[in-house]
Amino acid sequence: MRPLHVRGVGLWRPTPKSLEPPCVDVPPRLLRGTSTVTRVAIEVTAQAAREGGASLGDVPTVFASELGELQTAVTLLAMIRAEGIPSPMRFKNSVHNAASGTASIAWQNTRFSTALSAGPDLVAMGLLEAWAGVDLHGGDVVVSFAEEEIPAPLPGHGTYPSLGVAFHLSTQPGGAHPVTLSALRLDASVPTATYPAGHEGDACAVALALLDAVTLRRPGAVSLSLDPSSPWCVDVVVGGP
Amino acid sequence: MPGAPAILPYAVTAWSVCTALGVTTRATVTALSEGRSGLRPPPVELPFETVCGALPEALPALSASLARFESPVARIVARLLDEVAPAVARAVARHGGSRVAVVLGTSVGGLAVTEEALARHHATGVFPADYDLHARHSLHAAVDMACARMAIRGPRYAVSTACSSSGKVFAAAQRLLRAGVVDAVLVGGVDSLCQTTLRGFHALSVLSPKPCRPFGLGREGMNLGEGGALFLMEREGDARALLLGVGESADAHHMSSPHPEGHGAVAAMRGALAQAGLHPAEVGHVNAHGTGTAKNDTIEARAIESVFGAKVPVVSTKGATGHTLGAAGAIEAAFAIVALEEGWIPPSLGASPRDPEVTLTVNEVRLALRCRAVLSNSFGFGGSNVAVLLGVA
Repeated sequence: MRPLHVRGVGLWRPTPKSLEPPCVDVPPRLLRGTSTVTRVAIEVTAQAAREGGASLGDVPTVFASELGELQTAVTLLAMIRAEGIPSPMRFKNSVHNAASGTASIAWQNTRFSTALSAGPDLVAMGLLEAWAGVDLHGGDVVVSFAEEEIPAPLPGHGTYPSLGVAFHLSTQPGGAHPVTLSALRLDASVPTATYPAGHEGDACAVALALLDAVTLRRPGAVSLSLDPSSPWCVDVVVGGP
Repeated sequence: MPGAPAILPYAVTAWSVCTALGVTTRATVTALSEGRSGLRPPPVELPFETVCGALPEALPALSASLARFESPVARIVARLLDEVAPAVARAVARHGGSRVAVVLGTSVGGLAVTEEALARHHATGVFPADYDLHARHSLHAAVDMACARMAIRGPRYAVSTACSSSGKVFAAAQRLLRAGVVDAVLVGGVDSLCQTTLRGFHALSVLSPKPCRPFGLGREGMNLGEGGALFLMEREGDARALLLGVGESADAHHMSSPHPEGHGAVAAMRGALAQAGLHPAEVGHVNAHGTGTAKNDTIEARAIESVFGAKVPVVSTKGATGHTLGAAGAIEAAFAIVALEEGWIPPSLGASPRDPEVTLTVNEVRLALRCRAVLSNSFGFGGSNVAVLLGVA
């Protein structure tokens, strides 16, 4: 696959003042009944597209999340236990592609969009799905990685906070980052990623290392997997190929 | 416009299917051929009437070495793997485990496991000791189970775009093969019945209390089903069918209703044709999404007619299997391959008497038909559309 330029990036994490992302690019009526992970994914996708100069109405999108709409699933089950039937609005937003659908409606974007889930190599798989699409069709793509805090009472509740990271990738240079990605591959010689402090258990957090390499213009191979048996990595090249 | 294909066709070298019609490929295909329906009373207690495409028998537990992945969807994938495992093992031996990928579509994954676990927690204050969010609940758990069983070490992920999920995996496989990332991809789809979807679709007022009647007059909605299908796709090999093209689009209209003019559906069908370089007249049969809901069937019928005209034989097989959500694209791709391999198309159960607004040729009896190419539609929540075009080998 040909190298891709990183034209823009997006990052959102909660702060004491802001537990939910603003999602200013989506009308409030479309956000009604959506979850944290949907909003996080949309927020970082919009940030990355904006920074890279892509039109929100015309850019293909890939939404990657391991556990996706878990808060909504738990909410629906509580409704079922209490009332027998869940809220139809919450139910239709319980699909893994809720962010993809909401964003496409908000932005009137009829281009390719997908949603995927993977385990310890989530970040590699999201990049691969996005990259293979650009390799076939050319142009741009925004790939996002988003996870929300595991809801109570599920095991793992409170072990990591919500997080979203996105990259606007393109066959064309430009944007804010003079960096390209190349050679997405399995390579056991590159040390496997580890969870950043405070994000233990969140496969999405592996994207933070790639985000750092891009924004700090740090060249070299970046591991994209937490699983030593699946050692995906990518080369960050500063200044382009 | 038709012309040269935009992407090379890839070989489907092995496949298997498991539905309410039968848990083996042979049982499903025989029942489909005989025009039987797998719809039956739901296997769980519900506060409303409906029927379901529940599997006709319980599937065995996973082997001890795979027990950490235990869930209804993992059992379905294990059943499907029983049939294609020799071909997959040959591909792994030929190409190496890291040159084979697994991409499965699912809408609910292991949600049924979490439903049970939360019910136990609610009753006792503790979760089952073996409950594991990542290995049993997650959408990718069945993918990981398949990789572990078949020693596959290449790309592995689940596509989850609601009811288009396992149509879109064909496009993902096509891209991975074309990019040279892998030499073979195990694709497919799987979903199981669970309380959330049964009650959720009832909440949306789209669940029929009676057997569903896609394209039929007075249809009352859909019935949910469960099952799955797997396909081994290879760059080369002894093809049983060819993947000619896949079209993907987004409606950008509504989370749970299709575009009223069917724009996204039309774009997906035309995209598949364009990728394959085929003229609509070269497609001999369409397996419709055809869920049995009043509005969606009418919109899809108009969309199909606008692309292919009114004469192409169209079938919805959901009157036989129920709507298997994220597995529907894969199961119906399997039925498309049956049409190509065996030269017949199944009856569209429940389509008679026909809705007069549906002016398509909806096939109501088993029909002997040799065709070179078959198209299968899948449309999902979020306005996610896919059309998969398969051809004779």
